[in-house]
Amino acid sequence: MEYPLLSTVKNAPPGFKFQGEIKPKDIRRRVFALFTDNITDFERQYGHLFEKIAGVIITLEREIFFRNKSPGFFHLGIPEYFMSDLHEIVYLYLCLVDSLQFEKNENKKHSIELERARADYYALSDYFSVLDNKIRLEQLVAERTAELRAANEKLQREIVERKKAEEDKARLESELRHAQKMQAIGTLAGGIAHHFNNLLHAISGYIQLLSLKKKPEDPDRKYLDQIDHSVQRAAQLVKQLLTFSRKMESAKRLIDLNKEIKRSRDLLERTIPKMINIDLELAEDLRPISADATQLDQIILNLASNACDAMPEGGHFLLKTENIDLDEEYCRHHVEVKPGSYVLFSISDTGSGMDQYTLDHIFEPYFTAKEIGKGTGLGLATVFGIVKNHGGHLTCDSKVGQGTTFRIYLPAATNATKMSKEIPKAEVRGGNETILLVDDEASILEIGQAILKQFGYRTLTAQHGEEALEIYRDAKEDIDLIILDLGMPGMGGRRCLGELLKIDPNVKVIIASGYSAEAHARDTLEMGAVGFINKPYSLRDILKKVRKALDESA
Amino acid sequence: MKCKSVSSENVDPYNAGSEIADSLEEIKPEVILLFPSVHYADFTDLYDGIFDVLENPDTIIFGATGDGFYETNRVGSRGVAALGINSFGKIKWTVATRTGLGEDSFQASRECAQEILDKAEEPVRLAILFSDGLTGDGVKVIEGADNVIAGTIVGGTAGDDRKFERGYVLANRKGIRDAVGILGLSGDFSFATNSASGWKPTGVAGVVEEASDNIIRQIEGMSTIDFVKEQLVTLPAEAEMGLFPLAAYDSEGRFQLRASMSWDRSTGELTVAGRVEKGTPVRVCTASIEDILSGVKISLDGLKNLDFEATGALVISCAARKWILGSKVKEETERLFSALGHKIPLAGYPSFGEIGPFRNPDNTYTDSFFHNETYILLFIGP
Repeated sequence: MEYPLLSTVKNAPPGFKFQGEIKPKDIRRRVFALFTDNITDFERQYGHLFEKIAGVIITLEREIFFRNKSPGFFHLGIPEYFMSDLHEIVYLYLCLVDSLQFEKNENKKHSIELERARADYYALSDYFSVLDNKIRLEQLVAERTAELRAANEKLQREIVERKKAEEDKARLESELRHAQKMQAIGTLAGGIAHHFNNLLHAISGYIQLLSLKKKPEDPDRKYLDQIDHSVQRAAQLVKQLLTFSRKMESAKRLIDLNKEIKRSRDLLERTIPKMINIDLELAEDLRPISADATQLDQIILNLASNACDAMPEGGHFLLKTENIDLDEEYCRHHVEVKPGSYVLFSISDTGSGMDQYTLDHIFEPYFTAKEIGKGTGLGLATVFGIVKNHGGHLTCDSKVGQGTTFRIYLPAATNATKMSKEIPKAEVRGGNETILLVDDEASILEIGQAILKQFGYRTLTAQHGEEALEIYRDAKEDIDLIILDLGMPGMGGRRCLGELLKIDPNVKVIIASGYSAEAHARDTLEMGAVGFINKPYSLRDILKKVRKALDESA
Repeated sequence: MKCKSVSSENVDPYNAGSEIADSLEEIKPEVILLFPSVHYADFTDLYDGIFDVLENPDTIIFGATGDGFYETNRVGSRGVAALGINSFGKIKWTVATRTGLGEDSFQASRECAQEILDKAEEPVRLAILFSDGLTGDGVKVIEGADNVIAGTIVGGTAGDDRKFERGYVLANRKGIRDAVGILGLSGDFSFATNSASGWKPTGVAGVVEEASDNIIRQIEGMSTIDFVKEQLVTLPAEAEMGLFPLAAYDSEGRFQLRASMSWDRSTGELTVAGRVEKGTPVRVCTASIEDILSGVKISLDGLKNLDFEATGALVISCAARKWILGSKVKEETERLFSALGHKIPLAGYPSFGEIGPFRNPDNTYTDSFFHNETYILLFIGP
């Protein structure tokens, strides 16, 4: 679905079209999004239309917020560092508003038609009000009664069908809204993780630089090790967020889920309280799945941890597997599920269970029903991200006092899956070439420069795509390689890469991004980049990639 | 002259209005004859939709609600139809409205017509008149306008999708209840109009001996119900009476139909949709579905030998015809174009009473009458 994406800001975000003056007819016929830097002006000029327009107005704010202005019109406040994801975030809200508008119009249409049908029905019933001509009347009565009875029966059937359809529709819409919300939260979480990755990258880089300058016996080394340890823990949290937002690569291979469960059971028996019994009901001939074993362990451990908290007095923790086929009918009733062969992995406990409010929010990051300090609020969000990343689907049934069951549907593997390979470590070498570093984070530029200089390279820096293009146009003969950040404000890394390739189709560019999903790397490589590196990158990684890119293309 | 018709079934008034205007904007209409469903009331959003698109804020919008709409390519029960006209300045348009129809239909209509004459700088040759069909007396409305305007009067009364609660006249960017509105046309243009129903009088004529307003109490010494029963041999059910209207004759031997609305079984009185004076000769009429549809051809047959080419058409056809014809109602328009040999821009609405003259063989017109169950056709051209 295409929506008008308007902007009153001259330097409009990607995908938004600048329009100096917005006219009522621009915003009253279609669901639209408007990016503006002055909500007050907009409200003064168009506030009277709020009940009649549908869409989203976006302003740049210090923090994220979301306000209903009217049943079909919303105000979304977004911090600047989300600008590169703005199109994606806004699209979700526009889809939601569009479906609400469609529903409103359909209801109105049905209500008009119902009123009309009622008027016609009363006119028809007048036929029965005359008693003069008995023979004619009886004949009419018989005919009309039969017609009305048939019509009534048909109407009753339609009412039942419609009621069922409406219930199904309402449930599906609720699921869709939930899916859209989770996707939006995922995008936001991914954005936050990306931002933190940049910061961690800078910290990590400085630690490595300092460590290089310190002798092993230097007393400062232990403080640096402590800082490094904290950075690694923070990186773990970011990794969880990336997993939830499905931006974390997974090493999938053919797996027998039963074997993984048995292995996890051995670990669990040593770690969870003795008064909790672990029961297994594993299907024989269970279909293999293509999965990341480490991530499956993560699912089991996270759910087991929750189960333990829910059963302080002890109970049963059941892990069950079975083969299941999801048909078209099932998929019609569940959003984002495709028909096919699946493995159903059920994890149940006999613990305290959850109320409906908790159930509605359990997969959201940082939502926790545990006491302060007991839960991070990322456990189930991570489970959600892993399952979705595996093309799966999950549900949760729970009632207060009656325990909880998670059902995870993972697609059965249909053919052999490639095993992930370990990449041998390469020797780190420096050079004397000139490298242009492009990143909106000053600290990243600084650390990059320091690393590269230390290993003999000459460096230039640019803080956004436009500046990079200017530098490259002036000194392209001297620049041997460009390390380009993908997520920058303004024209962004992707467009910048396109423009660089226009200037020189042989330009050598390594893309750096906090998003580690395979698709990003593939996309940019297809566009013409010579390499891709995840942020935060280690000193060894960046030097290795730089040398490889320079040597291969020389 | 340029005309263009368009319709929309969009339930959202703003979107329906802007769809209409989007289509009509290309001919830069001076006037839009607009026929919306009553569910769009109070019409503010509909007007907003139109004027947010139209470049000319002075475009006149004039129309009425009925029971759906007719348009060149569609007959609808829910939505809006419009006929845009651009005469390139040849037609001088004037608009006036008056409320208070329920209080005094004759006076309100007369004052409205007088305002048209006062505003018009040239003789008003054609007046398009719409009035509330639920509060006003259609006959008195015609008499009031005819008392002032010498030109031909064509139009209908407004309704509300079979609810019988309120009818709106659309003028001056408003939807007005209990009102009469007139659009006066002066200047250099051509038009032709005719009225026909397809119903055929049957049995003997009887003279109305006792009546007040639209209640007929006695015909030829018997109650109205007994008179009808004697003509039809058997008395139809009350709701079927729409199929058996009375033909009320004038001194020239022409008749206007009066459809039955209700009857009083205890007194034998019949209430019809229009005034009938004491002394009026009446006959009971009958019609098959085919007869009703033939009303279109009869109306068109009276418009032969035109000395201009019609650019656009306005159709006012009784809502009762639509109810009786059911799914065959679209055949009215199909038969019109079939007899005409081609399509032309057309819009109109199923009315709760029709207003128009008969065309004489010498191409002159009779006075305009208030009809029921009748099909009125107006051609307009350069």
